[in-house]
Amino acid sequence: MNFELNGTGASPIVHSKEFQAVILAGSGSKLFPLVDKTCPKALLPIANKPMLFYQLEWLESAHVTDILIVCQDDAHENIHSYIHNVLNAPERYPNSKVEVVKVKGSGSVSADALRHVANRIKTDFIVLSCDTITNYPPNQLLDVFRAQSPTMAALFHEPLKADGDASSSKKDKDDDLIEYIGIDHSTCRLLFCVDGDEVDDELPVRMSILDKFPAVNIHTKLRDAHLYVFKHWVIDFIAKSKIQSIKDELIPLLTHFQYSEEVLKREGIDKFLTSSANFDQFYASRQLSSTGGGFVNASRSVSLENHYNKQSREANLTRGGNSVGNNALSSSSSSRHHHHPSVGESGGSADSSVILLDSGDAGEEEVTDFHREIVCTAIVARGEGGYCFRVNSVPNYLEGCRALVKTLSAEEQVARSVERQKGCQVGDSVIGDSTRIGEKTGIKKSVIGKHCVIGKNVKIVNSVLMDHCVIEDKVVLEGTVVCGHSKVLEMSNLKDCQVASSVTVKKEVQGKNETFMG
Amino acid sequence: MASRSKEKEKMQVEEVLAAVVVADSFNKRFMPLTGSKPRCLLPLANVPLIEYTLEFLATANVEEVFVVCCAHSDQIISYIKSSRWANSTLPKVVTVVSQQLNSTGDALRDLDAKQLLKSDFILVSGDVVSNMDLGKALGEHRARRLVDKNAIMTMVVKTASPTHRTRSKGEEGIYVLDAATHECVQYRSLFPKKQKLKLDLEFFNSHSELQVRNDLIDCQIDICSVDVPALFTENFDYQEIRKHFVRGILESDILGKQIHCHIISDTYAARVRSTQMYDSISKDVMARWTYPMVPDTNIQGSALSTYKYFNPYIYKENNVILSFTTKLVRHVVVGAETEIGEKSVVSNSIIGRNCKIGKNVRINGSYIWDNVEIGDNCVIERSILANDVKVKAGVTIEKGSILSFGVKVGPNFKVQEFSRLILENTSTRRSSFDSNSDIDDQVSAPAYSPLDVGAEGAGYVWQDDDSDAEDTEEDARPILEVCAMARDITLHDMDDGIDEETDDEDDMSNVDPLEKSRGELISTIERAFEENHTIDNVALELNTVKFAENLEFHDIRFTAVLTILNLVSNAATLTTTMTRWGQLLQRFVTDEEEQLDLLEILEAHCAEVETHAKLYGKILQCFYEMDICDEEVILQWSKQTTTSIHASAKAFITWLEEAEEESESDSD
Repeated sequence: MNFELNGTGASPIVHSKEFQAVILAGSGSKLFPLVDKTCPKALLPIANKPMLFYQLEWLESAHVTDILIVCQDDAHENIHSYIHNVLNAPERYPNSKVEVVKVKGSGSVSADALRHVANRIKTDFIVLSCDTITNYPPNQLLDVFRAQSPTMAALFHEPLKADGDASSSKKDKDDDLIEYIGIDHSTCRLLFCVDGDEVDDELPVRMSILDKFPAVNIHTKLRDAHLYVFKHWVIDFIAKSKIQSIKDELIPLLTHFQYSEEVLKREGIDKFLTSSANFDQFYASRQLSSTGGGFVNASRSVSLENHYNKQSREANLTRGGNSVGNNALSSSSSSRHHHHPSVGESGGSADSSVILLDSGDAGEEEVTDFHREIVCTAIVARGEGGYCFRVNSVPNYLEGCRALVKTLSAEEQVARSVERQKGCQVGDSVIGDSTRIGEKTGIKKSVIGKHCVIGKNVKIVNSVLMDHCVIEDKVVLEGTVVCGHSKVLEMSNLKDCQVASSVTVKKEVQGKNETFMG
Repeated sequence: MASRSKEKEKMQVEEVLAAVVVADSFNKRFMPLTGSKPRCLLPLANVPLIEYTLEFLATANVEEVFVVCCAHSDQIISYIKSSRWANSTLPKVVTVVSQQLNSTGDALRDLDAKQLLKSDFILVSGDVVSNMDLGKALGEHRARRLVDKNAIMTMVVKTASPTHRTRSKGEEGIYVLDAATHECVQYRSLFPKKQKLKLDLEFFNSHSELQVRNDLIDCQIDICSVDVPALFTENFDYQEIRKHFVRGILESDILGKQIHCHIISDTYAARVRSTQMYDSISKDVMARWTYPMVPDTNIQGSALSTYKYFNPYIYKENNVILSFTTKLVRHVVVGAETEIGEKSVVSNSIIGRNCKIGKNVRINGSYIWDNVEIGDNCVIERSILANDVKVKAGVTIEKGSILSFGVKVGPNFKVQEFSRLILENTSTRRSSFDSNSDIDDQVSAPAYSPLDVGAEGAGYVWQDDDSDAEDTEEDARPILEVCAMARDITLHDMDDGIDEETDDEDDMSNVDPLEKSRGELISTIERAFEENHTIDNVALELNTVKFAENLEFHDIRFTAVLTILNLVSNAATLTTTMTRWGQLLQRFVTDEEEQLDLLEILEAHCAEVETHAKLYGKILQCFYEMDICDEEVILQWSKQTTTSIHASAKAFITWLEEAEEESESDSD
């Protein structure tokens, strides 16, 4: 029996249809005035490439080929034309199917957007916000999902650090609130995620969590990347529920399911769990080994396995007196389990070890089984060279741009067609095609778009200029964003300002924390 | 410069590593056993507990051990004198006798006064069993001390599942640690149970990642700096090290001291804090978790014990006499010269030396100490039988029982579960504070009751006389008692507790808000009943609740009628209750309308409760007599209503009518 299962489970065809992706292209109201009708958030350039480009590339590298971009009515045309005309998706990603779907009405409600495309989601699916930019290896994320088979996996990241700049880090605190994220110490399960503004002086932690997950790490330095992978049945659940927001309602609910059977029953999750088995051939094959018929993970990651073994060993300890007979047997079986290759490439052998364990510890199932049905896994993106950030505010936008610049090589940073005059200095910056830079101009840690004209003796630090900007002589820009087709006339000095598109900033303007609109 | 720092280093190396062993438990969980023997001399796997502690300290290269004794200090001193520690130089074991100690706090204050401790020391109690590597914990502690003098203490904790048997039931705590440094920022006992653990957000200002742990066993091994005894002296109200000292230090903003945790996971450490722990640790010793402290290593020296190991987990000394048909199932220790008769089955138990166990006896999960005699056909389930206990034939001892030294039971008798039997009913002083005077009066005790110990038995039921007086462990008390040795019960109970808890929190949202606020009123009144408040105070409290919950006077009347009548079961209780609490109703009825409302409530209530329906007339009369309701109102009500209940009060009503007529005619 096991051989047959192996045959179907390992075939690469199944693999290609494993995940679908939904990109939620929201409105980006916090990025005002950077975004407007002609430039929806999804197309906001970061290091001279629209945000959407990064997500499509990321999904492509994960071999996710079925991508739905859900956007608002008014952004649809722009996004559609970008995908088809500029990016030329059918040629660039020949195996993929990229589709732009519009939602009528406000559409800002993330769960509504998912409901809108619910009937088109046929597999486990990835949901990501269009402002999530990461190079976290997608397969690392998906492999965790494949191996542990959780209900949900969410990516978390550490916020970008401003380069030793105290003032901007202070700003950060106002912009994105602290989140208190509870993650199980040994299994990396996500247990709760509380926004800083939801609590006053004390953070309450339910004892029912601590009873089931006795070691919880509460992080304050992590942020939700708004990148999730869900089991297929979750879309059915969303479709039937009145959930409004993924972040504020769906995630808390799913995490709560892990330790409260009451809530699980109240929401009638059992239905979804059993129905999902029919849809999902890939996982169904793994489930056959489970005795209870529920959603039991046959193959688990190392950490989960350790947890499992620890549990069963302790269960033995607890029951020591009564079930001595089991002791030797189960410890031997769990140690075999231990040596087993962790990720279930071969479904057959993983199955056998589980069966062995089950028969050895028949009485222990209660102890180990109680929170298997719903599993939320937190994946933390950390480490050198990697980046993961959200472009959800202007300071984050600037920092995100800088972070991306660092990842590019010198050749990639400055386009060949850039015209440089004598004595101009460019460092840690990206400069787009056909831009002209005047004499004795200095550009540091900045992004300059295409076809910009920059005069003499200009200083640009920590700033972003989009395409077709004109910066006249002796202008100083610091921490400033200048949107496309705008002009800053000579002698102006802008610090931490935003200039909307097609705006002209007059001569000798001294600006600080200002917004210039048309 | 260099040479000076070297010198400094040398100085530190030369610091004597000392340990303080508190050889008094300061509680009565092992009573009546500890009535005649200190806890640290009770045998665990036939070896006195303090041997494990001293051996543990010796392997940790402790150079000087101070054994602080209070109750039974003579026994402890003479034991140490006769043991292998008497002539030992590494460690040097010194006994310190202090009378009048009531707590670990007192012990440390005493040591501070005597100025015995010159450097960082290890604080353990005399009943710790451990095979952990203290060196690592000490190293961490010292490294921290070099950087920051305020890191005054390191607590050793062990990871285990929340329901692990070696977690002392009722004493589990939750530790909130800094994830990176393991600095303890909050410590809270699990009891009394709460639904939520509240974390002060201020913690997060200084610690970006916190770890909340409910899976740690408190091993009660602390590495303390010399500041610790001094702090105890400064804060003379600190008694217990966890409950008072740790909490006090962590909550204090002024002191600025820090306490860290050292988490061990692969070695063993636990303290015999209760009979339940005694049971768990004994099993751990037999299952060899505590290796090398297992019976067959004969830690007391081969001259004193001769255990050998047999599969599966059976340990026998020399000269054990077993019949061919005796069965030692698993996890069994049997001491020298012990005889076990035919067809007897022993499992999960420890049997001491020179015991005589008859035929066809069943012993499970029990601890039988030296010189015990057990007759034929006995069944002993999860109990402790101290030295010289005699169990006659045909006795059943149910779980959780403790038979103290020399008790005799039987024959053909059943010792009820959780019994505690003692031979002499005299005041055996264990420590000054829990000897109780009223036992002294019974020196010329009456004869043994056959109901307690059987026809030929000898012993009394031990009673815990001052259970109310002891405040230190009040919260955990019920749990501790129940779980004495019957682990299954506690686990079951605990599970129930958890379920209820989740029920509660989810039900909350479904409960009618009115019901909830009325519940608030009801509990206020019931509390008043229990604590015997004055009417004034109750009225005030009810008014407060009314405002807080946005209720009406009607709700107060409703709940007051309900709760007061709940105290009433017959005519007699009615009068007493109404004289005591009737005034309360009066407070909340002033005008006619409100009186009518009250009567309506009363009638509706009586219609539902049968016992009160019979008393309806009497209640009305009480209301009338106490001026809660005017006669006009009662008469008016009787005209309005037509229910059958009201009909039962007819006699009173007619009397009222007549009285009124009379008074009217009088006035005429």
